[in-house]
Amino acid sequence: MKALTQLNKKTIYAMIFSFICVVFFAFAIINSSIVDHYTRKEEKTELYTEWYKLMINEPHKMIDIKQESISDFSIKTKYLFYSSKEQVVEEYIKLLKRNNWIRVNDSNGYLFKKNQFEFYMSFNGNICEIRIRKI
Amino acid sequence: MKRNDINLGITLGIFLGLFISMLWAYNLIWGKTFFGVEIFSQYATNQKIALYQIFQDIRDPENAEYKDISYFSKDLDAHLYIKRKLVINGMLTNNVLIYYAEEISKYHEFKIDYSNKIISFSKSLEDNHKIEGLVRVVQDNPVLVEITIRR
Repeated sequence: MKALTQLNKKTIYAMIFSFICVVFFAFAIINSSIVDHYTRKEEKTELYTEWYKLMINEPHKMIDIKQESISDFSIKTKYLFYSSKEQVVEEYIKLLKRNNWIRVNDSNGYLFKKNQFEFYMSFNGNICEIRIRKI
Repeated sequence: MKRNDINLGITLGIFLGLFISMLWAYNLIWGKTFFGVEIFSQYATNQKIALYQIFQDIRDPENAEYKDISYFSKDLDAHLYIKRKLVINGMLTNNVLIYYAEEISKYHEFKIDYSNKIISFSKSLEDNHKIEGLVRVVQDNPVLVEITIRR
Protein backbone atom coordinates (compact mmCIF):
# COMPACT_ATOMS: atom_id res chain seq x y z
CA MET A 1 0.00 0.00 0.00
CA LYS A 2 2.89 2.32 0.84
CA ALA A 3 4.44 1.52 -2.54
CA LEU A 4 1.15 2.35 -4.25
CA THR A 5 0.91 5.75 -2.59
CA GLN A 6 4.38 6.52 -3.89
CA LEU A 7 3.24 5.94 -7.48
CA ASN A 8 1.99 9.06 -9.21
CA LYS A 9 -1.34 9.36 -11.03
CA LYS A 10 0.12 8.83 -14.52
CA THR A 11 1.82 5.59 -13.42
CA ILE A 12 -1.46 4.30 -11.98
CA TYR A 13 -3.45 5.26 -15.10
CA ALA A 14 -0.83 3.56 -17.32
CA MET A 15 -0.98 0.49 -15.11
CA ILE A 16 -4.79 0.28 -15.26
CA PHE A 17 -4.74 0.77 -19.05
CA SER A 18 -2.16 -1.96 -19.72
CA PHE A 19 -3.86 -4.28 -17.20
CA ILE A 20 -7.20 -3.93 -19.02
CA CYS A 21 -5.54 -4.52 -22.41
CA VAL A 22 -3.79 -7.71 -21.24
CA VAL A 23 -6.90 -9.09 -19.55
CA PHE A 24 -9.03 -8.25 -22.61
CA PHE A 25 -6.71 -10.12 -25.01
CA ALA A 26 -6.38 -13.04 -22.60
CA PHE A 27 -10.18 -13.15 -22.31
CA ALA A 28 -10.51 -13.27 -26.11
CA ILE A 29 -8.00 -16.15 -26.40
CA ILE A 30 -9.37 -18.15 -23.45
CA ASN A 31 -12.95 -17.55 -24.50
CA SER A 32 -12.35 -19.15 -27.90
CA SER A 33 -11.22 -22.35 -26.09
CA ILE A 34 -14.23 -22.23 -23.76
CA VAL A 35 -16.65 -21.79 -26.66
CA ASP A 36 -15.06 -24.76 -28.40
CA HIS A 37 -15.35 -26.85 -25.22
CA TYR A 38 -18.91 -25.89 -24.38
CA THR A 39 -20.17 -26.35 -27.92
CA ARG A 40 -19.09 -30.01 -28.05
CA LYS A 41 -22.68 -30.81 -27.19
CA GLU A 42 -23.06 -33.92 -29.32
CA GLU A 43 -19.74 -35.33 -28.18
CA LYS A 44 -20.71 -34.71 -24.57
CA THR A 45 -24.04 -36.47 -25.07
CA GLU A 46 -22.16 -39.45 -26.57
CA LEU A 47 -19.66 -39.48 -23.69
CA TYR A 48 -22.31 -39.27 -20.98
CA THR A 49 -24.48 -41.86 -22.75
CA GLU A 50 -21.58 -44.34 -22.68
CA TRP A 51 -20.90 -43.43 -19.05
CA TYR A 52 -24.56 -44.00 -18.17
CA LYS A 53 -24.82 -47.29 -20.06
CA LEU A 54 -21.72 -48.81 -18.50
CA MET A 55 -23.09 -49.62 -15.08
CA ILE A 56 -23.47 -53.16 -13.86
CA ASN A 57 -26.30 -54.48 -11.76
CA GLU A 58 -24.25 -54.96 -8.57
CA PRO A 59 -24.81 -53.12 -5.28
CA HIS A 60 -22.49 -50.15 -5.13
CA LYS A 61 -21.93 -46.61 -3.91
CA MET A 62 -20.50 -43.83 -6.03
CA ILE A 63 -17.74 -42.15 -4.05
CA ASP A 64 -16.38 -39.63 -6.54
CA ILE A 65 -16.83 -38.28 -10.03
CA LYS A 66 -14.53 -36.09 -12.09
CA GLN A 67 -16.09 -34.63 -15.18
CA GLU A 68 -14.48 -33.73 -18.47
CA SER A 69 -12.42 -30.55 -18.81
CA ILE A 70 -10.78 -28.74 -21.71
CA SER A 71 -7.53 -30.65 -21.17
CA ASP A 72 -9.08 -34.07 -20.52
CA PHE A 73 -12.28 -35.17 -22.30
CA SER A 74 -13.07 -38.05 -19.98
CA ILE A 75 -15.31 -38.94 -17.06
CA LYS A 76 -13.68 -40.66 -14.11
CA THR A 77 -15.91 -42.31 -11.55
CA LYS A 78 -14.99 -44.14 -8.39
CA TYR A 79 -17.32 -46.78 -7.00
CA LEU A 80 -17.31 -48.88 -3.91
CA PHE A 81 -18.76 -52.27 -4.86
CA TYR A 82 -20.08 -54.53 -2.14
CA SER A 83 -19.38 -57.70 -4.13
CA SER A 84 -15.96 -59.22 -4.83
CA LYS A 85 -13.52 -57.78 -7.36
CA GLU A 86 -13.75 -60.95 -9.47
CA GLN A 87 -17.53 -60.66 -9.68
CA VAL A 88 -17.36 -56.97 -10.60
CA VAL A 89 -14.77 -57.64 -13.32
CA GLU A 90 -16.82 -60.53 -14.71
CA GLU A 91 -20.00 -58.45 -14.83
CA TYR A 92 -18.23 -55.53 -16.51
CA ILE A 93 -16.62 -57.78 -19.11
CA LYS A 94 -20.03 -59.29 -19.89
CA LEU A 95 -21.61 -55.85 -20.19
CA LEU A 96 -18.81 -54.47 -22.36
CA LYS A 97 -18.91 -57.45 -24.72
CA ARG A 98 -22.69 -57.14 -24.98
CA ASN A 99 -22.18 -53.51 -26.03
CA ASN A 100 -19.53 -54.41 -28.64
CA TRP A 101 -16.49 -53.10 -26.78
CA ILE A 102 -13.20 -54.75 -27.75
CA ARG A 103 -10.59 -55.62 -25.14
CA VAL A 104 -7.09 -54.20 -25.55
CA ASN A 105 -4.20 -55.74 -23.63
CA ASP A 106 -3.08 -53.62 -20.73
CA SER A 107 -0.99 -54.86 -17.85
CA ASN A 108 -2.22 -52.36 -15.25
CA GLY A 109 -5.98 -52.65 -15.58
CA TYR A 110 -8.81 -53.48 -17.94
CA LEU A 111 -8.81 -51.51 -21.17
CA PHE A 112 -11.55 -51.70 -23.80
CA LYS A 113 -12.20 -49.69 -26.94
CA LYS A 114 -15.25 -48.97 -29.03
CA ASN A 115 -15.27 -46.53 -31.96
CA GLN A 116 -13.65 -43.39 -30.55
CA PHE A 117 -14.19 -44.29 -26.91
CA GLU A 118 -11.93 -45.92 -24.40
CA PHE A 119 -13.01 -47.66 -21.20
CA TYR A 120 -10.44 -48.21 -18.50
CA MET A 121 -11.08 -49.94 -15.18
CA SER A 122 -8.63 -50.30 -12.30
CA PHE A 123 -8.89 -51.26 -8.66
CA ASN A 124 -7.40 -49.78 -5.54
CA GLY A 125 -8.44 -52.15 -2.76
CA ASN A 126 -12.24 -52.20 -2.74
CA ILE A 127 -12.48 -49.05 -4.81
CA CYS A 128 -13.06 -49.42 -8.52
CA GLU A 129 -12.13 -46.51 -10.75
CA ILE A 130 -13.66 -46.28 -14.19
CA ARG A 131 -12.54 -43.83 -16.84
CA ILE A 132 -14.48 -43.32 -20.06
CA ARG A 133 -12.61 -41.17 -22.53
CA LYS A 134 -13.14 -39.93 -26.03
CA ILE A 135 -9.91 -40.46 -27.91
CA MET B 1 10.99 11.29 -15.46
CA LYS B 2 7.37 11.33 -16.62
CA ARG B 3 8.14 8.83 -19.36
CA ASN B 4 9.73 6.51 -16.80
CA ASP B 5 6.62 6.72 -14.60
CA ILE B 6 4.37 5.74 -17.52
CA ASN B 7 6.67 2.88 -18.54
CA LEU B 8 6.68 1.62 -14.97
CA GLY B 9 2.86 1.72 -14.91
CA ILE B 10 2.55 -0.14 -18.21
CA THR B 11 5.01 -2.83 -17.05
CA LEU B 12 3.22 -3.29 -13.73
CA GLY B 13 -0.16 -3.51 -15.51
CA ILE B 14 1.16 -6.13 -17.97
CA PHE B 15 2.57 -8.29 -15.16
CA LEU B 16 -0.59 -7.98 -13.08
CA GLY B 17 -2.80 -8.73 -16.12
CA LEU B 18 -0.72 -11.77 -17.11
CA PHE B 19 -0.80 -13.10 -13.56
CA ILE B 20 -4.60 -12.81 -13.27
CA SER B 21 -5.11 -14.27 -16.78
CA MET B 22 -2.83 -17.23 -16.07
CA LEU B 23 -4.71 -18.10 -12.89
CA TRP B 24 -7.99 -17.89 -14.77
CA ALA B 25 -6.78 -19.93 -17.77
CA TYR B 26 -5.18 -22.55 -15.54
CA ASN B 27 -8.40 -23.12 -13.64
CA LEU B 28 -10.41 -23.47 -16.84
CA ILE B 29 -8.03 -25.81 -18.64
CA TRP B 30 -6.79 -28.10 -15.89
CA GLY B 31 -9.51 -27.64 -13.28
CA LYS B 32 -8.84 -29.17 -9.91
CA THR B 33 -5.48 -30.65 -10.88
CA PHE B 34 -1.86 -29.54 -10.88
CA PHE B 35 -1.13 -29.36 -14.63
CA GLY B 36 -3.18 -32.49 -15.26
CA VAL B 37 -1.82 -34.43 -12.27
CA GLU B 38 -4.54 -35.39 -9.79
CA ILE B 39 -3.88 -34.09 -6.33
CA PHE B 40 -7.17 -34.34 -4.48
CA SER B 41 -8.58 -37.44 -2.84
CA GLN B 42 -12.10 -36.34 -3.82
CA TYR B 43 -13.12 -34.04 -6.69
CA ALA B 44 -16.88 -33.70 -6.43
CA THR B 45 -18.96 -32.50 -3.50
CA ASN B 46 -21.25 -34.99 -1.79
CA GLN B 47 -24.25 -33.26 -3.37
CA LYS B 48 -22.88 -33.67 -6.86
CA ILE B 49 -22.00 -37.31 -6.21
CA ALA B 50 -25.54 -37.99 -4.93
CA LEU B 51 -26.99 -36.27 -7.99
CA TYR B 52 -24.95 -38.32 -10.46
CA GLN B 53 -25.50 -41.56 -8.56
CA ILE B 54 -29.29 -41.12 -8.64
CA PHE B 55 -29.05 -40.25 -12.34
CA GLN B 56 -27.13 -43.45 -13.08
CA ASP B 57 -29.12 -45.69 -10.72
CA ILE B 58 -32.37 -45.19 -12.61
CA ARG B 59 -31.94 -47.68 -15.43
CA ASP B 60 -33.73 -47.16 -18.74
CA PRO B 61 -35.47 -49.88 -20.77
CA GLU B 62 -33.15 -51.71 -23.17
CA ASN B 63 -34.83 -50.27 -26.24
CA ALA B 64 -33.99 -46.69 -25.27
CA GLU B 65 -32.46 -44.37 -27.82
CA TYR B 66 -30.56 -41.44 -26.30
CA LYS B 67 -31.18 -38.00 -27.74
CA ASP B 68 -29.50 -35.61 -25.37
CA ILE B 69 -27.72 -35.41 -22.04
CA SER B 70 -27.12 -31.99 -20.55
CA TYR B 71 -25.98 -30.78 -17.18
CA PHE B 72 -24.99 -27.80 -15.14
CA SER B 73 -22.47 -28.79 -12.53
CA LYS B 74 -21.03 -25.74 -10.88
CA ASP B 75 -20.90 -26.82 -7.24
CA LEU B 76 -21.58 -23.42 -5.73
CA ASP B 77 -24.47 -22.57 -8.03
CA ALA B 78 -28.03 -23.26 -6.95
CA HIS B 79 -28.94 -24.78 -10.32
CA LEU B 80 -27.05 -28.05 -10.14
CA TYR B 81 -28.76 -30.52 -12.46
CA ILE B 82 -28.31 -33.32 -14.96
CA LYS B 83 -30.89 -34.27 -17.53
CA ARG B 84 -31.32 -36.91 -20.21
CA LYS B 85 -33.82 -37.18 -23.04
CA LEU B 86 -34.53 -40.50 -24.64
CA VAL B 87 -36.97 -42.14 -27.02
CA ILE B 88 -38.39 -45.50 -25.97
CA ASN B 89 -39.61 -47.59 -28.85
CA GLY B 90 -42.19 -50.34 -28.56
CA MET B 91 -43.75 -49.23 -25.26
CA LEU B 92 -46.90 -47.28 -24.52
CA THR B 93 -46.84 -44.18 -22.32
CA ASN B 94 -48.52 -45.87 -19.35
CA ASN B 95 -46.15 -48.83 -19.56
CA VAL B 96 -43.20 -46.45 -19.57
CA LEU B 97 -44.55 -44.70 -16.47
CA ILE B 98 -45.08 -48.04 -14.73
CA TYR B 99 -41.58 -49.16 -15.70
CA TYR B 100 -39.99 -46.03 -14.19
CA ALA B 101 -42.22 -46.19 -11.11
CA GLU B 102 -40.90 -49.71 -10.42
CA GLU B 103 -37.35 -48.62 -11.11
CA ILE B 104 -37.54 -45.60 -8.79
CA SER B 105 -39.32 -47.56 -6.05
CA LYS B 106 -36.08 -49.55 -5.55
CA TYR B 107 -34.45 -46.42 -4.11
CA HIS B 108 -37.00 -43.71 -3.33
CA GLU B 109 -40.60 -42.97 -2.49
CA PHE B 110 -42.32 -41.29 -5.39
CA LYS B 111 -45.50 -39.62 -6.62
CA ILE B 112 -47.02 -40.49 -9.94
CA ASP B 113 -49.35 -38.24 -11.88
CA TYR B 114 -50.83 -40.15 -14.82
CA SER B 115 -52.76 -37.16 -16.18
CA ASN B 116 -49.62 -35.03 -16.50
CA LYS B 117 -47.41 -38.09 -17.19
CA ILE B 118 -44.96 -37.18 -14.44
CA ILE B 119 -43.21 -39.16 -11.72
CA SER B 120 -41.52 -37.11 -9.02
CA PHE B 121 -39.35 -38.11 -6.10
CA SER B 122 -36.86 -36.56 -3.72
CA LYS B 123 -34.00 -37.49 -1.45
CA SER B 124 -32.73 -35.52 1.53
CA LEU B 125 -29.00 -35.48 2.06
CA GLU B 126 -27.17 -35.43 5.38
CA ASP B 127 -26.22 -31.77 4.89
CA ASN B 128 -29.93 -30.80 4.64
CA HIS B 129 -29.82 -30.29 0.88
CA LYS B 130 -32.49 -31.96 -1.15
CA ILE B 131 -32.15 -33.74 -4.48
CA GLU B 132 -35.27 -33.81 -6.63
CA GLY B 133 -35.97 -36.15 -9.49
CA LEU B 134 -38.51 -35.84 -12.27
CA VAL B 135 -39.43 -38.34 -14.96
CA ARG B 136 -41.66 -36.70 -17.54
CA VAL B 137 -43.19 -38.10 -20.70
CA VAL B 138 -42.90 -35.27 -23.21
CA GLN B 139 -44.37 -37.00 -26.24
CA ASP B 140 -46.52 -40.09 -26.70
CA ASN B 141 -45.78 -41.79 -30.00
CA PRO B 142 -42.93 -42.65 -29.95
CA VAL B 143 -42.55 -42.10 -26.21
CA LEU B 144 -40.07 -39.31 -25.49
CA VAL B 145 -38.97 -39.21 -21.86
CA GLU B 146 -37.06 -36.51 -20.01
CA ILE B 147 -35.35 -37.46 -16.76
CA THR B 148 -34.08 -34.59 -14.64
CA ILE B 149 -32.19 -34.83 -11.36
CA ARG B 150 -31.54 -31.51 -9.66
CA ARG B 151 -30.51 -29.98 -6.37
